[in-house]
Amino acid sequence: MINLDISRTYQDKELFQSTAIKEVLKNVLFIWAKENKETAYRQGMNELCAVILFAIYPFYHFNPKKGYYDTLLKNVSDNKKLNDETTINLYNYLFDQDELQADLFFLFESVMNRGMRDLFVYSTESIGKKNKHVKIKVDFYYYKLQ
Amino acid sequence: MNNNYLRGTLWKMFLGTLPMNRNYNEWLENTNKLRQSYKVKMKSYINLKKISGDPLGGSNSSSSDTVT
Repeated sequence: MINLDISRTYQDKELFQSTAIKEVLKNVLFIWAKENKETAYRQGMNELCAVILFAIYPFYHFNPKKGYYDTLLKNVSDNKKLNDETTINLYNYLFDQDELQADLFFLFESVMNRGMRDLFVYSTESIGKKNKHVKIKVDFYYYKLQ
Repeated sequence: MNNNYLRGTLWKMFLGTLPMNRNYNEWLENTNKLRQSYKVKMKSYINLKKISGDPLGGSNSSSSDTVT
């Protein structure tokens, strides 16, 4: 289902036609669904995740070398006020293109935890209630007709 | 400062992955911690793929390509 939805997600946008981007979305949604078994994957989550990706993708451009994190952490810890170079390095680390998938996962998780998850859960419950209401009516008229 | 940096950072602060009212050290440590924990999740996902083929229902040949 996730595969099918992703193959249909915003296919008019060039970004989402890329196989690598489809793979990123697939991994994020699958891992989230696996971690949240009570909600699991629902249709529409793919679009939500794609919108977040679309918003953050332009910032991810940098590919730091090995050991970058340790040096940066030391520089940031040593200086209370950051100089321009350390500031640029800090932002480059925050927008490391190799970590796009991990960052997308936590942004998506955060959005889901801020109320979006309920929209997916409650909609199903409300359909269930509606069905129950209809069933009572059907039972009533069936009884009347007899 | 490049506007992109600010916009991207504000997105992350707004959505809570960069803690507000914290210093840069904590931004770095928090980001690093989240990324490491994702690597663990990703590893278990790849193991699942190895055991049961593609859990998303893709063909076996394509799943074996992605695992290696």
